[in-house]
Amino acid sequence: MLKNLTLRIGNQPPSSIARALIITRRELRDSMRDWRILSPLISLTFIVPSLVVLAIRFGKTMLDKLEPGSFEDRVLPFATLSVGFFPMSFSLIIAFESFVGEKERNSLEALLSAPLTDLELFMGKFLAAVIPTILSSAYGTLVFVIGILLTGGPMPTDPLNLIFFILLGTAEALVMVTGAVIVSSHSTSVRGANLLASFVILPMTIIVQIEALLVISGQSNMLFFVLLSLLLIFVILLRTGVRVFNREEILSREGGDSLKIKAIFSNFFYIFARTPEETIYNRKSNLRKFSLWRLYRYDIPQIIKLNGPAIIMVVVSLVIAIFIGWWVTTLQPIKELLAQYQGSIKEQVASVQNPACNSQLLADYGITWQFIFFNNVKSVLIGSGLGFISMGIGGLLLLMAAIAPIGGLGNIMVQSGANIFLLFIGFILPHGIIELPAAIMATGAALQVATCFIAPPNGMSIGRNLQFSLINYVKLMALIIPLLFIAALIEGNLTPIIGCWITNSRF
Amino acid sequence: MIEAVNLTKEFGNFTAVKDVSLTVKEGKVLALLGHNGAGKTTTTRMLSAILAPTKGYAKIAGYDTVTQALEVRRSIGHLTELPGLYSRMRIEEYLEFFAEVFNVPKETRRTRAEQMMRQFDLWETRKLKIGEYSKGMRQKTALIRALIHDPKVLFLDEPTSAMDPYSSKLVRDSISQLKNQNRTVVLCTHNLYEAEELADHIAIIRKGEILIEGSPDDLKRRLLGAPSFTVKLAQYKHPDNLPTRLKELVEVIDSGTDWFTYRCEEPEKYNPHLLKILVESGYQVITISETPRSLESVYLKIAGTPATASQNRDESEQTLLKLKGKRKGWFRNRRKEEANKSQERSLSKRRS
Repeated sequence: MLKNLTLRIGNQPPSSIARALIITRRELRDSMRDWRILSPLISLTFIVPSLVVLAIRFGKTMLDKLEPGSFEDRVLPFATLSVGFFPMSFSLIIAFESFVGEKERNSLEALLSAPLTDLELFMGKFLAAVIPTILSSAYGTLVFVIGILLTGGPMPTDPLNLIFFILLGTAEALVMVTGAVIVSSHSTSVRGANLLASFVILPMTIIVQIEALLVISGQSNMLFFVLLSLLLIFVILLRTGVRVFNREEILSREGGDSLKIKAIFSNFFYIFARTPEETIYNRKSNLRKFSLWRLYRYDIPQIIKLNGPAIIMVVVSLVIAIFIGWWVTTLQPIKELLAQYQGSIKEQVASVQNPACNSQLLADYGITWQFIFFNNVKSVLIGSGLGFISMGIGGLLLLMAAIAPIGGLGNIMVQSGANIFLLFIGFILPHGIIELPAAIMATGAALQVATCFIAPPNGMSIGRNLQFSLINYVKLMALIIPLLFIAALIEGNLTPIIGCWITNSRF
Repeated sequence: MIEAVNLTKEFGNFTAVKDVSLTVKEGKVLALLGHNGAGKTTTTRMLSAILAPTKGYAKIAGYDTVTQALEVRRSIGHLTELPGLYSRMRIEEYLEFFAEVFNVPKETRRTRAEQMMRQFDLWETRKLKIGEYSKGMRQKTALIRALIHDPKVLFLDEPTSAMDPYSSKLVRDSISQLKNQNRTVVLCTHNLYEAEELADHIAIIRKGEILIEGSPDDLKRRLLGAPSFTVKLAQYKHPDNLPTRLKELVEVIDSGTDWFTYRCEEPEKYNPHLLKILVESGYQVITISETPRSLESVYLKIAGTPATASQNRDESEQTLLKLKGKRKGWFRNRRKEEANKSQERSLSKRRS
């Protein structure tokens, strides 16, 4: 059946699982012949869980005295969850070795010149690393459970939970191994890959700690969301792994372990001096070297085009945020709260002057165009910073959090009889037509930087794509900052005049 | 069988291979000669569809190396510069693995592997782990791996490095055998003797550019001038006594008590005449033999030695420009100049 099973990702040729398994079989046979891998694996899978069984049996009496019932309810499920993680963390070595180890032993080139697709190669190596990881984790858990039962203890957790824990361990293994194989295919040496191991192991340790907290606090049902998140991360990582797998990069990457500051700067200026299209397609155009004219005429339009999907995602998120804001104000408790003040709000809307038209009030609060400008720049930079470190999610959430109240406010205004259309035309549109696109573009650029490792352009490594995306972000700022400046000038000086004139200083 | 047009490979700002154009017909052997880092390996990697060219294209057995990379890889055998084997495997398992990867039918895998192991004297050691093999044995194992699927085209990067003379001969013989079986071979080597013995066509590469290419004889003729021949005579006669007709026909460049050496542009045309003149003039010819000229002199003249590379840079650059520009014209003019000079010499001799 496997013989006919093929996969296809992107524009790659169809890849056969059966051919990937040829690699897997060889790798597995090779790993199982290496006593340096085999002995710790056996020890962590069979000996360590047995030792945990003994330790728990001895500690049971003490625990029963301290907190009766906690042994069965908390400790046993927690230990069942944890024992599977020990062998898993070690078998990662196979994944970290997968590509870079072969490269160091000079056996990779022969494999790369064989008629195997990138996906077959990647999957072959991935399966060879993930199979021992999953098996060792599952066996470790089972050894523990059997050990507890054999020593006269209760079933550590109910069978369904046990299956769920094994599934959770499998999801952890999938995420860790995919991450490790990606690291391996982008490292220059085994040493380099091992140094990067913490980037895979640390986040997973945090996840395991969260899982442990959920189990100990009796919130095991929440683990289902952890499982879903892990599977989602696995799919993203797998796609990234296949997308960024590049046999050319693997072969031509030499001596990357040494820090070459000069090379980094030279690369930075090399990318900076070229238009994005020149960098992506690695072609030279007749354009003169970097100039302000070229930046605004070619670089920035190309960057905006390149960030198109990210910008669309930001716009969609903003629309969703407005709807969420609107929807929240329709929820029963808030509706009831608003109903209490409905009369006075209506009264105020009908009688009170719009505070935006009170120049003295604005001056008292220090709301000048300078304040607006620096505040907006600060928001954009904080949003970008948050985006960079959270795969773009932080930046998006910040922007959504800023926009969502507008939706809610809009609903309240409509309910209170205010003319929302006039308010929008008068108080938002004059500066918003500039400010909003600037904020959207900046968040889109941050999203692009944060997710650049998922799908770099063909032939571009993750590192180079990160540099490229950062440079694009910096270049785009040459448009964003002036736009925010103009928007702040309008918002501080013109918007109140236009808005008050259109709405007659009322709501 | 192999066609490369303007192949260029850039790694960032560094150009590893520049505008390499090659054609190798079926059943021919091309030797790529060049110093370490000249771009030979990058060229073979591009031809074997491991690296994508930055510019230009290549076709192997009719398949494009970029758009039909899998078909290309199926049609080729690639012996890499460093054998890089799986040391915990036995040779049988290793060959079985690659035979499976290359889709060799299951029923022929073992017989083919056995035949190759016997051919390369590895049959007796098949039960050892590859890690226990000597350097030469590993090199032979890697070569068998490249041949296991009976490819139409072979890329051999330093096939006999680290081998003892006997094993080297085995490998050279097998390359000749492959040639006879109409297989196309690209040989990257530093072993000029090997290149001269096996190659039908030689390309000298330096700094990623092909400086000169042609058959070994053609290269020698173009760079070292017309071939020279030594005639050994049965009786002593001073070279001055050689018939004038003969001196007009060829340029005598050296002579001894019972021999003389001459240079001749078209030996196949002039040697029979020369022999006839000598016989008619009463000379008894014992042998006529071509004076051996090594490929090494051609190589050093073109690629230079690393030590003298900086000194010879200007000269080499000029040579490169000349070769790149009007390669054929330059050699034609040079041959004409030499012919004129020899004509002048013979005229002045006659006058005197």
